[in-house]
Amino acid sequence: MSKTDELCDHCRTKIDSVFNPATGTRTLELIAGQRLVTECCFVADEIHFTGNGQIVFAPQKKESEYCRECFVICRKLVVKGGNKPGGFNPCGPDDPGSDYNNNNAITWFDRLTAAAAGADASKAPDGTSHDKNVWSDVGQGSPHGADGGDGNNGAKGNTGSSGRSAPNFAILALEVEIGIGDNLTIDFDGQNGGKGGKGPAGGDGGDGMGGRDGSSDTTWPGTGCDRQPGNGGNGGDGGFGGEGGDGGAGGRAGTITVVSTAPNIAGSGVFLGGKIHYVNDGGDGGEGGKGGKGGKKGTGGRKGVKTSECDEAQNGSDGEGFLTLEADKGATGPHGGGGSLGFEEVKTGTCADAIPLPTLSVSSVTPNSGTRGASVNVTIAGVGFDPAATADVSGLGVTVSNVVVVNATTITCKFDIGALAPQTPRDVTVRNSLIHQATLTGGFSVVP
Amino acid sequence: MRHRELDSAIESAKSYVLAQAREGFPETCHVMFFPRRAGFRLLRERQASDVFARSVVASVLLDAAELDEDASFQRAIADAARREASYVAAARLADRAGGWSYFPDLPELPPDLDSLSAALILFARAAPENVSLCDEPVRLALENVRSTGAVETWLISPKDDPRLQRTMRRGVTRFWGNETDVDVCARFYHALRVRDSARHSESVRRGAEYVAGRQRADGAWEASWYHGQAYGAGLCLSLLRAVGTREESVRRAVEFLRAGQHVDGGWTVFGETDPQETALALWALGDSAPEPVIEKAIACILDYQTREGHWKGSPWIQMNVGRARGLSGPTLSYSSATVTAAFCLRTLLWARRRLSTRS
Repeated sequence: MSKTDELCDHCRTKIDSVFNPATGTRTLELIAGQRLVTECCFVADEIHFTGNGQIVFAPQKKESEYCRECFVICRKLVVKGGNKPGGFNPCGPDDPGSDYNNNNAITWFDRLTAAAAGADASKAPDGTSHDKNVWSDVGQGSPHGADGGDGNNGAKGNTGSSGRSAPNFAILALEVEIGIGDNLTIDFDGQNGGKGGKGPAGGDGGDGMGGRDGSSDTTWPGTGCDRQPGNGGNGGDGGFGGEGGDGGAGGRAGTITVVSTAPNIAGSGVFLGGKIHYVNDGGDGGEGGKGGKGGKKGTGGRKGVKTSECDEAQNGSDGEGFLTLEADKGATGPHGGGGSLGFEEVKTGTCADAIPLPTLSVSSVTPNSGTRGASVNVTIAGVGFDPAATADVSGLGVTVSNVVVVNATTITCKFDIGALAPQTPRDVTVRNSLIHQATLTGGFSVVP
Repeated sequence: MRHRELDSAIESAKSYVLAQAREGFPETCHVMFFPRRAGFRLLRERQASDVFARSVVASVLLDAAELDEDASFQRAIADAARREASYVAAARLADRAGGWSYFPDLPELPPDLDSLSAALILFARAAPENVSLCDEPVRLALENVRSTGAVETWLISPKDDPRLQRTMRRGVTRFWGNETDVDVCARFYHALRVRDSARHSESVRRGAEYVAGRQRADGAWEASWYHGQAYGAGLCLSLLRAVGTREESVRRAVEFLRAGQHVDGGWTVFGETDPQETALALWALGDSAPEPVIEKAIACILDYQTREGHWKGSPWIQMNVGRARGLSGPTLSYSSATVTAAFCLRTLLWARRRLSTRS
């Protein structure tokens, strides 16, 4: 199915409401600022972008149900101002849409923000910790303090959400007015993936337990030391921070199809002339989340208090801390798949026939006659000539060459008249496209 | 040091000591065994004591309450001190004129001057109606003042039962030793001053001279009954400062104490940083301690505080078993988390007041 047919299937009613010769509204839509469009078809006789205009296809319903296909249909598209895509960065991970401020664009709503970032992970559990100053008999079976537990290592952070896939998009415009320095961006790229969540911080190392105090003899006369003091337990190491969450995958881009007259979509046509820009190579993957920091060291337990006659115990060693050590950042999410970009000449016999083509007429041919066997340089006057317009003469024996579209009102060309060409008036036709042509009946005659 | 941290430490320490006070300071109980085979003639080898420690703790907490602006804490400590005074009053020995013995059921151990002084200070501050309980023991002590101003530690009265006198004298000769103790004398003269400074002014002055005369060249005093340097120094400094006649002694003592602070901010006992010694040293230095010294010392004390708000008991009382025979050691020790907490809390409250005055 041609895009024109598809477009007609979706937008026939809207096209009729605008272009019906009897009842059509023939509206002119001035796009200044952001215009949210919740229908699949945005149809107007003329659409004018003012340099800071954006048509943004938004979800139809609350739960973000987009049209699978979005359409912009107009007879005439006028673009003023705006910048090239290179002049801004539409793919920034946090808020790509903000870069469309002060630019002309046609895009879709979720393209304006990145997908949700992954939640920052909470800190990993701390290691078992003891009072570094106190010994307690909690099963270590020793006068020495128990060691503090190592802090747990952080797990990997949460992945950012994947970007949404963009809807497909088609634009039908039969006339385009866009001057030097004017720009329009058509962006149906996938939504950028969400940023990865921050990795969890490592758990803190637990404090070592204090050693059991030494004790003095309680029986006279004693030796002064009844029980040797215990060593303090070692502090636990801090855990390593968790790696940051990976960025979410970029959304798949939608297809972009341009439907217009042949000259507009030819290699040098306005749609390929470098003033209208297409962005649909796939949404960027989200940036990876920052890695979590390591946990604090546990403090070594204090040695037990000695009495005068007891030996000296040892303090526990502090664990190792990793507070300043940051785990690796998460990986950037994968790039979304690109969409295709296509150009199609508007098809006749479809609803597009209702859209009035721009005025095209031939008013004169100068000279308006030539003799058999002669080559005549002629000037065709009229209005609405496309830069790629062709010229033709009816009947046998006259061939047209060296066609030069000087401007929209003048074409120069050469008529080579055969020696046996019938001596009859000929119709002269200027053709902008297959469906768009104008003829001056009897505009040229072959004479003896 | 963060003031919030200090506030938090103070609050948890207050909670701990108040909980102990409500229970009658059970943790202070000092239990020892005096075997008959070692020469003791007693019915029960197991002896327990808490009167002295409770007297001291109650007085220290009265100091602490005076440094705090928390009226509920002040009331609670005042109530506790009155209860403790009643307990101490009830523990006065009925059969001996010397007043209070550290182990009251140990016949070989006479009433002692230190227990008397601790009781007198507490009574004078919290229960004046009990002060008269000390009159006879004080008379006995003053009768035994030597020409140097020293007072004998053991209070054995000629009025005591002769058999008891013999037993006690045997104990002094065989177990406890008959030296005079500067730390004990310092507390006694301080107690006299608290009791009635006008009436005892001459005695106190002589006592101060004696204490100053016992100062070592390096500024320290040799405390007989207490571990470390700070507690004995604190007792002596308290007396000398009150009398005000020995500024040079005070200066040397302060210099000695200040030189004892270690890099970690603390003072040591047996070469190890000790929070109680640190608290006592800072308390003894008082206003002569510069702020950096205070800050470091307080940080050290806080570092030793347990999560339950107290401190492990630091070595406090020492008992030189070889003393009667002219030997050094072995040394038996007594420590109490409650005593340590009281000393530390008092110093923290003092430091908070001092530092807040600055800011």
